[in-house]
Order: sequence, then C-alpha cells, then structure tokens
Amino acid sequence: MFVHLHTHSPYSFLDGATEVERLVRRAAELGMPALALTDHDNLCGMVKFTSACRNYGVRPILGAEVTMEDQSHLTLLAMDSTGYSNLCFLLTRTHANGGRLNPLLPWNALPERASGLVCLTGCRRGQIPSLVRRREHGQAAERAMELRRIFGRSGLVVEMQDDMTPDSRRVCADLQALAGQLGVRAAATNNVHHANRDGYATYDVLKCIQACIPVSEPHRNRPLNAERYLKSAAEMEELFGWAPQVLADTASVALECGDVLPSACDIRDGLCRVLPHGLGHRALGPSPGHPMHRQGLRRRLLRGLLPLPDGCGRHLAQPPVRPFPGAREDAGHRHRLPQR
Amino acid sequence: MSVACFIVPHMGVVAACRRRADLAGSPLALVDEKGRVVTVSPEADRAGVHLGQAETAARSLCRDLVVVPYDREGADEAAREMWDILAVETSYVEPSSPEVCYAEIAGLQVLERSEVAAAAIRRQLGGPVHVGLGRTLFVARMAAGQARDGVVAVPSGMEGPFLAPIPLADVEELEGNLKDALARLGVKTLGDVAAVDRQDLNRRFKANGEKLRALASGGPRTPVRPVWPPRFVERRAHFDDREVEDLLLIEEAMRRCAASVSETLLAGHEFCRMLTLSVRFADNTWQALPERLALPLNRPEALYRGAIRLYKRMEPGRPITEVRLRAADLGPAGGVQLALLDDNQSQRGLPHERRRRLHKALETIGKRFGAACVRHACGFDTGGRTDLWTYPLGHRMNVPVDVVTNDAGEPVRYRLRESSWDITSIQNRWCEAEWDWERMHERTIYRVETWPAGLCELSKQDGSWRIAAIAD
Repeated sequence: MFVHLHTHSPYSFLDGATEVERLVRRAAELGMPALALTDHDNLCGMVKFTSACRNYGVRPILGAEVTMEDQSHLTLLAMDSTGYSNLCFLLTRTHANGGRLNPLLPWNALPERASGLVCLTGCRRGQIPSLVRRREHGQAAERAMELRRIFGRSGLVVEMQDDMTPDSRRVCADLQALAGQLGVRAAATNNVHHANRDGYATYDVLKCIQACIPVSEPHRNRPLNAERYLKSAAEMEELFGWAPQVLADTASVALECGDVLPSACDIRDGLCRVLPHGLGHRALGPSPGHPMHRQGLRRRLLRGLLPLPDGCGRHLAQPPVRPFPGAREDAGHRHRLPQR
Repeated sequence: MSVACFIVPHMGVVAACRRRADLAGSPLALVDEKGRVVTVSPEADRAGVHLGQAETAARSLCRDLVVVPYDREGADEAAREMWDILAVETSYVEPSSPEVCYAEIAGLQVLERSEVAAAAIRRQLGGPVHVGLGRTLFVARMAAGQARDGVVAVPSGMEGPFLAPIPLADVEELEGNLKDALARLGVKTLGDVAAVDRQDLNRRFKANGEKLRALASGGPRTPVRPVWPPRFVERRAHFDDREVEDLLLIEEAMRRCAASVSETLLAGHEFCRMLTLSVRFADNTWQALPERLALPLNRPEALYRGAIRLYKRMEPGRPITEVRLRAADLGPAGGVQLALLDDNQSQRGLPHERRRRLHKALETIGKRFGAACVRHACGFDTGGRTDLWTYPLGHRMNVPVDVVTNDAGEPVRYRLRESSWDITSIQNRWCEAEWDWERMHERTIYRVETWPAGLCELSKQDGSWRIAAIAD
C-alpha cells in the first residue's frame, strides 16, 4: 500500500496541472486507499477534493504546503478536526503576515498551533532538504530537532522525494540517515503536480506562464522532467526499494490522518439540532427528496444563485427575453423559451 | 557574549610601507584597478585625499602624493599580525578583509579587554584602530565605523536607537539599487526603515523587506566563526627512530596518514584545500612542502596521491625518521570554487543553482582582483537548455556506445571505439524531459566514474545509449 502525501491541484495556482477530480480518480484507479491534497498556502480545493474522494471511495487527507517567512516550504497534514482547525488558523496567519500575494508564516506561530498536525519537512525548497542538499548536515539536524520539539517525535516526518533530479538520490539517503539520527519517521512522497506523465507539458506551460516567459526560453523554475506525477505503488517501491521502512512509515502516516471534513448531511443535522424547531429547514430549505426541494432548487437556479449544469448554460447565459419594454428583470426568465 | 569589530583602515598602507621602506612618512594613496583610491595614509588624509576619489583628483589635491596599486596579498600578510593578537584573546576570530576583523569576546570586562587588544594592534601596526562592540556583527561593524581611533560600545537593547540615525548609504550590506529605491521613497536612514510598516516593506521589497527590517533592528544574530587560526588535521607516522630510505615504507606511512586524515574529514563532512607534507631527518631538522589543491579533497586515495606528489617534488635525498601530513583550509566545500569537475563541491545542487553560484563566485573574484582576471569560455559551449541542465564536462559528445547494464537497468560497463571501461561508481543520475506538440522526449543520464580512470556522462533515450560528455 502506498499513499501520496504531497499532491498539488490547480488550487496551487500555476503549480498544479491536473484537476482535483482527475487526481482522485487516478488514485482510485491505482487502488490507493487515501490521498492527501497539499496546495500552496490555501485550502481552497478541500470541499471539492473531499467530495470527489468520497465519491471514489478514497479517504481524503487535508493539508497544505505552507511558505515560511524565510521562503522555505513546510508540508502540514491535518490528523483530526483539531489539526484542521489549527491548519486553518496557521494559513490565516500566513496571509495576514505576508499579504495576499506573498503569504508567509512566521516560524514562531508554529508551536502554539502544532497539535493535531503532522509536519513533513517539505520539498527541495524546504529548509531541511535544502540544507542537506548543500551538505550542511549539522544545521539540518539542528533545524530538525527544533521541529521535533514543536511537533513531537510522532508529529515530525522527514520527507524524501526522489524526483530523478541531480543529487535527489543522495539527498534522500542523507535525509533517511537524519531521520534515523533523530528517531523520527521518514516518508516517501513524489511532490505530485500532475496525474500522469502526459501532464508534464501542461505543467511546464503553467510554469512558463508563472515565470512570464515563452516556452522556448529556459528558466530555473521550469520542471526538469516528467517525474512529478501520481506514481503507482509499484513505481514508488521501485524508487525507494532501498529503504522499505520509509514506505512502511508513509503508510503509517497516512493511516493516522483521518477524513476531517463533516458531510453535508452532518452539517444539516447539526444545524437543525442547534436551531429552534423548523428554523433549520426554513434556513436551509427542505432536505433532498422533498418535493419542495426540487421547486426551491429550480427557483434558485433561475435567480442565478446556483451554478448551472451543462446544457442549461447555453440557454440561460443569453440575455432574458423581455415580453414588452419596461418588464421586470425576473419576468424575462419566466417568459423566455428555450432555444435549440 | 559580545561581538567586537576591529577596523584598521591603513592596513594597505602598512603593507606597502613594509615592502618599500622609502614610502614611510610620505603621503600615500593606494588605488584599485579602476584608478579609485581605496586606502590613504594619514599624511594624504590630511591633504584632503579621501576614499573613492579618482587618482587624478587625488594628485591635484596633494602634489607630492605617491600612488601605488593596492596589494591584497601584502595586506593579508600584514593583517595576520592583527588576527594573531586577537586569537590570543578569543578562539572566535573571523577576518572579513585585511582591514576588518570580527572577534567574539565573552566574559567580564569586555570593554577593557577590547581596548587592550586595540592598543596591542596599534603598537604592532601603527595608525588608528577603530573598535565597535555590539550584540551582532552588523551592530559591531556600524559601531566601529563611528569610532575614531577608540572604542564605541552599543549596550544590549539599545541597537535600535543607535542604528536609527545611520544613513543607508553607509550600510554595505545593501545593494545599490535597493538603496536608490529606498531613497526615492524618502527612506534614508535605518531609523526610517524601522518606522515603515512591516507588511508594506514585505510587499514592496519581498525578501529584501525582511532583510531591511532585520538590519534596522540590529541585523541577524550570526555567530562569529572560528576562522583564525585556520583549523587543520594533522597525522604523523614515526619509523621508531630508524632512518628510512625505502620508498615502499615511506609510501606505506603516507598511506596510513592519508587514511587517518580522510577519516576525520569525512566524519565532519569537510574538505581540505591545502595539503602540506613534512619530513624529519635524523638531525632533527624538518623539510616541508605545502600545496594549494586545485580541488577540495577528503578521499583517502586522493590525499595519498597528493602526499606522493609532494614527496617526489620535495626530493629529500637522504633518509628520514618521520612523516607528517597536514590538511588545512578546511571547510564544507563552500565558498569560491571554480573547479567544475569535482562532484563534492561544484556539483552540489541542481545545475542552475551551480551556475548561479559560479556566476556569484566569478563576480566576487572580478570585484576583488579586477574584471580582467575572469575570462568566460562561452565560445566553447552551445547555448540553450542543455547548457542549463547538464554538467559542464570537458568534452561534449554525442556518440553511440554499447552499454552493459545490471538488473536495475544501471550501467556497469561501456564500450567505445574498441576500448572497454568498467563503471566503478555512479556519481549521480537524473532524468530530463522535453516536449513538443507531438510527443515527449525523455532521457536518463548517468554520471559515472570508470576504470581505467575517467569520468563521463552516459545518456539513455528510447533504449539506446550514447556518451554525452567525457572528462579526464
């Protein structure tokens, strides 16, 4: 069993090339029991991701790749609802601190909100991997010990990514040694940015857009190869066959992280329990299946409050047909005839 | 703990006067390769010559002015006396340039001990010595800049008020264009920087915003590194008071020394850039020969080869009783490094990162020794993406080769032009991909060491192997 704990969707904004649904579908095809979504500094895709995961029978693991104040990356996963709450708080701090376009999380914000979170040491832009890459092992160990003090021995996981870039194998071996030295787990991830190899071109184009360059121009942020895709368990085992314990640890981390978002029915039932009798139904509308639900849905569709399903948009996107000058705006909807 | 910064502004003048005694007492200006004054003697200073001035302008101010080029090595030689004096006081001495040196002074009576050290430097070298004391390197440097042949100490907690009036133009840590941008916004002193809202600063200057903020509040708390006296690893091999002339025995002794030195270096993830071999004779005299290495080393076989090379160059010509091998100038293989074939140094990180480091190193060297000392070999290389991602080996090739692989698909032997090479180790491997509107092309590259000795890159694309580059 293998679970990808570091995955980017288009909600990473120019750093993810495959839609959420396709990622989940691919994970289900590969027989993965769970999948983590870790977009950059946001949880925008979480509802869509959770919904897609539930549809495909994959357990969603919610997380984010947070940009720290020194521009390094840190991957955080929510183990439970407390962790999810803390993650939301930290992301709010991130945007409050650095601003909308340049979110940065101060290191000193981590200790108070570390409970319920699993901390992965990050991609090659993470502080510890980059120190190891520069062969500054002493400093890497110091930073890792600080993180271990914050997240605890079970909460810190050294992240290893062998994305077939120069030195990646050596860095992974050094990171595994570091994990052994600190007595913490090490997990293998693939820093997924697209669902399969074919997504490489899209991802490359996105990075070109991000860097404001034509595709003919080289740039250091462009991906070197097509390896950052959702690899199967067999492919990951081939990459990390030299470290079987790492694969086992990856699975154990995935097992610790649960589905933290409540379902829509849970929310409805919870609100109905809290609100005075009848008010919940009036506020939220009738439950699905009730005849009134269908009528209410139609009314809201016509008012433009709900997104339109495919096929309806062609008709409704057109300006309303006015039966006579001076008619009310909503009257047009009622009198407009569908066109073929 | 307190950081002390010692500035001897006339270090270059001291070195020039030591080399040419006739210059002592005359107005003297040292100029760089662009003809700008970098150091002046007190006599020239009194005549109005100041730093940054053009040579012609300086001559117009002082008719008897003697202008000589700035001798960096000579200044380094003179500065060693200052560093030695400070090394007696503390173990943490970090020279920044011949003129500027930092020292960490812990314990009691920091001020008094700094004054004593400054007096000793003044006695030894002559001329003024400015000393600044502070919590960080930056504060100490700024305080020394304010001191006029004395000591300025900034108490802990008073860094903000002390730094507030200092103009940004005096802060060497900031780049010129950043200073210009700040000046356009009306931010002219470190106090102005501290007054700007942090979010505004970050939004406008990104990473530089944090740096500015840190400088305004005292700078990063980087510790003083114990750089002087330089650390070394030394091993000796005795011959039990026997006089030995047999080369086999001497080589065996050197092999033992190299292995032991290498073990220590490898344990600390360090490399040496200086190797010194010393031999002792029966009359208790020593003969030593140092060598600055082209590449930083820490492998036993490389150190052994270096020792053998030094011994053959030394040619003692008589029996010896002891061999001593010293590896010095240790470090984590960082800093300025121009060798491109060393896997442990210049090959760190991704190729584009190495390229950036190389450009930075060349820029530093160009600034220090003159732009003329850097020559780019762009003509030998084809531009484009290949340049950005592949290792700059000596000879680029694109020749088909027969490769034997193991079960994991990794190369173990290759054959080129009727010759066969065994692959002893795979230094690195990576995968590159390119795409066009029709299909994607991928190739896997292995950088391998071979026997007979060699280094090359083998690339595998669509099942066929080619040799991409070769060295050695």
